[in-house]
Amino acid sequence: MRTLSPLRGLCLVAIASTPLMAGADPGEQAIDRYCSGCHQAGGDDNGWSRISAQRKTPEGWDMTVARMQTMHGLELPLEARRDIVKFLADTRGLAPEESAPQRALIERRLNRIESFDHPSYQEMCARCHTGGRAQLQRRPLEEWERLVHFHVGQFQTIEYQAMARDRDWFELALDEIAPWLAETQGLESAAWDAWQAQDAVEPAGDWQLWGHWPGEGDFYADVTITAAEGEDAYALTLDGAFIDGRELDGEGQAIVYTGYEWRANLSLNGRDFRQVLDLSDARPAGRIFDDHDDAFGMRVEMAPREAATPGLTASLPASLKAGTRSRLVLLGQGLADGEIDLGEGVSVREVIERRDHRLVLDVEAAADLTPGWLPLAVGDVGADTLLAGYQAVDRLEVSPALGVARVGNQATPPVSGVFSALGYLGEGEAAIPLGRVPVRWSVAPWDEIAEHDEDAKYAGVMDAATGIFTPAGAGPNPMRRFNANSVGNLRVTASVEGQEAVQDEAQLIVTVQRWNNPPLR
Amino acid sequence: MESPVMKRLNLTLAGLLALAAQPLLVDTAEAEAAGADEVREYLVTMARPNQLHVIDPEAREIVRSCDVEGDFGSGTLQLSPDERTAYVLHNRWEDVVGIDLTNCEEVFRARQSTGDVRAKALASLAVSPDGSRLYTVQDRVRLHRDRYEVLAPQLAVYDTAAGLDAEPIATFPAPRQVTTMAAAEDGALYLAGADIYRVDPETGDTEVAIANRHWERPGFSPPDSLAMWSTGEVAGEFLRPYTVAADPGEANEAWHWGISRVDLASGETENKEIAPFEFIIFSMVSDPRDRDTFYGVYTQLSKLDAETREIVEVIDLDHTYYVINTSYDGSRIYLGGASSDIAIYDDDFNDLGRIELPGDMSTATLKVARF
Repeated sequence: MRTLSPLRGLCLVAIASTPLMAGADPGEQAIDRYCSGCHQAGGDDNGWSRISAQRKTPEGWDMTVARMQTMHGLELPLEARRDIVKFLADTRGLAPEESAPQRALIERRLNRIESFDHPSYQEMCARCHTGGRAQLQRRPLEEWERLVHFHVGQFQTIEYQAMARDRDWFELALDEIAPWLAETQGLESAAWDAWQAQDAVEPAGDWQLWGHWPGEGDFYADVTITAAEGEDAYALTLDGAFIDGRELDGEGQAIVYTGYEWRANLSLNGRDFRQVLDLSDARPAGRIFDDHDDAFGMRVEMAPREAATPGLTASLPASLKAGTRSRLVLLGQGLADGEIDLGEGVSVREVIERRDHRLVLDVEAAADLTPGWLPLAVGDVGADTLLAGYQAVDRLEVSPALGVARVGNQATPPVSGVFSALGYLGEGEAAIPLGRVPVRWSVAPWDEIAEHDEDAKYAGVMDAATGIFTPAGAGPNPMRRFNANSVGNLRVTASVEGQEAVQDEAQLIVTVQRWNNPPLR
Repeated sequence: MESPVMKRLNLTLAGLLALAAQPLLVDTAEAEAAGADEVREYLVTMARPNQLHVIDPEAREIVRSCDVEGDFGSGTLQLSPDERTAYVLHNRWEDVVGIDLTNCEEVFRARQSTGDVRAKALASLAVSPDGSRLYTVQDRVRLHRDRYEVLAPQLAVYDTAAGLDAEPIATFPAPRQVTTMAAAEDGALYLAGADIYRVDPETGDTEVAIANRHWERPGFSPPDSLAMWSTGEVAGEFLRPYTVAADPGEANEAWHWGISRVDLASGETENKEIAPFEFIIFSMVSDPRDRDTFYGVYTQLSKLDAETREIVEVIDLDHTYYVINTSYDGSRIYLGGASSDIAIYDDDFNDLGRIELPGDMSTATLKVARF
């Protein structure tokens, strides 16, 4: 039997008795219809209670509406939910400067270790969710205090968990955390005022986008964005290729929130992805990722196909190994004409594609190539530090340094371990980045316990060529001590092909599923 | 206590059943008849979805399963002094339900939440030594239309004779973060919160019986305690294990298991480290025959000697268990909670078998009742 809590009951009654109020915006109308029964208009908040005293990302607002549905019995059509999130993100969102420190969280780059300028915020708050989740909100003190009350009200065991039961959690949250958040993340901000005064970014047009698809390679694509039906809605097509020539095509639909927060659903070569971009920069950047396997993703950059100033913007790959022949893709503007000079020791065997914004070349790096930057010149444009040549890799850097993968099944898909290995020439600040270099990947037990429990045998499989770790299936494993799941604590090692001694390692924790997977963790 | 008349009736019933050549139909009457005046020892626990199970540990079988209306949780149990009634925190920590273990009858229910105030007791449940009063510490939240308001917790006192719609007969302010609770023979209530508090349930007067969070022990970190399981009835004690670092941050930093303990007969308190902290323990009891021998459980079953401060014995279990208890003679160790099977070991950790329940015990207490 499901008990109707008083809060749930009160709100349902209120919703039923709320007359439909006419607002200019469909989101505003939906809030009046579905929210204002509990969040009443008027008072000091100058709008709907609670709602008007907060600013959040589109994900933040969507999670709030979702919580009202799952915890408080709110019933509303999907369209109304979308309208509400759009309206609130547009009118009570974050300025680009405000979301900038937490782009990784919005882009679902989760294999990071956070740090904060507060002695206990990590233990008080970020032991359950990322600290970034609250950093992506703006509230006055009273609202931060109400958030503390909400936490105890919603999660009754919160004061009894580790790192709470050893301290006066509730009092500390009210006395130390809420005031700090109010001071550093108050509702009012000059950045938000300034952003609201600006014209929204117009994404419709022709762009080119590039990135690295794990296991597949570097890619580039011409992106065409056109306005679609709906407020700030767009359709996009992608027409591109991996640098080895295999095609990469896709299409998708997007909505722009808050004037710069691009959120798209994409299908790329038949696989579904989410895309997050910050359009506030002249060269928008963000990430394309698998919504279920969020470790599997690609950071991308996008530049207008017709830039105001000619120049080179990217080289795919970032380095050439002496004595090899390969494809090289140069992206930029004003590349259609003129001589192509790729630096001493690099010769162009074939020009495969030449357009104003892109060159696709078949190049050969001489066996006696001098290691270092290869100054590039295409007609009148050039770049001295975009492409490097190397004989041998001096240093390797595996990232992430600590990754978390999760066992899974059909109901809760696994989360992969996705590692990359970047090479460097030289040491220290003067080191020249070589980008991804060919390596071989392996896993081993991290420590004696992992060795004893045979974690490397049970936890999953590392693809030696790609650095992608596929976790084992979920559930108790009768082969293991304590019937443990196929979890593991692994040492991931990459070694440069042909230079086995040049290695780097990372730690991979393979753990159980997350059951609650909101867009902001 | 029961009357001689009831005893005679029981014997008669048992005789009738035997004559009728019935298959083993387990009943209190029969159980008592089997050994005349012998008191049998039963295990009592809750399991999902919402059943209270009375289990015969000798026969390794469930004697009786009582449906308890409402959702599971927390499954914290306390027994009446005659050990024939179990009180359970139920319905997502909101209700206290009294069940007659001899016939599954629901004899008491207190719904702690009222109006717009939701009240939950995480594991705080105790029964007065005369059985007339039941105590909970309620975490209370007022549910406003658009916000939660956390209220101060309160100690609620109920009359166990109040029936199925019991209201508190008294309430007193209580500290935050209280989990387990026990009533001593002198009537004093002991609450495990930041410290171990001693409360006079007549007046609500509260004092610190054992300082934990606020102890003044130079060279020791503050302790950390997970105390969710109200056992201790066998040894007559209120026990809370903790972990602590000696010389924290120093080169010789060392972690220990320690215990805070109240002797429920004498009211004597003690607080001491008992063994090195080498593995997780969720719950702990002392050996009823030797107060300085402790048994702990989580994914290991362990025996700790507080006198030598050594781990005497530790074995890996087949899976995780949350709650531990012992037989009154100390010869049997019972493990429950978490999953759906109760494990029985002897005091040398020989595996004596398992009792399968139809549902997971989760956070439920595993009590030992004699009747």
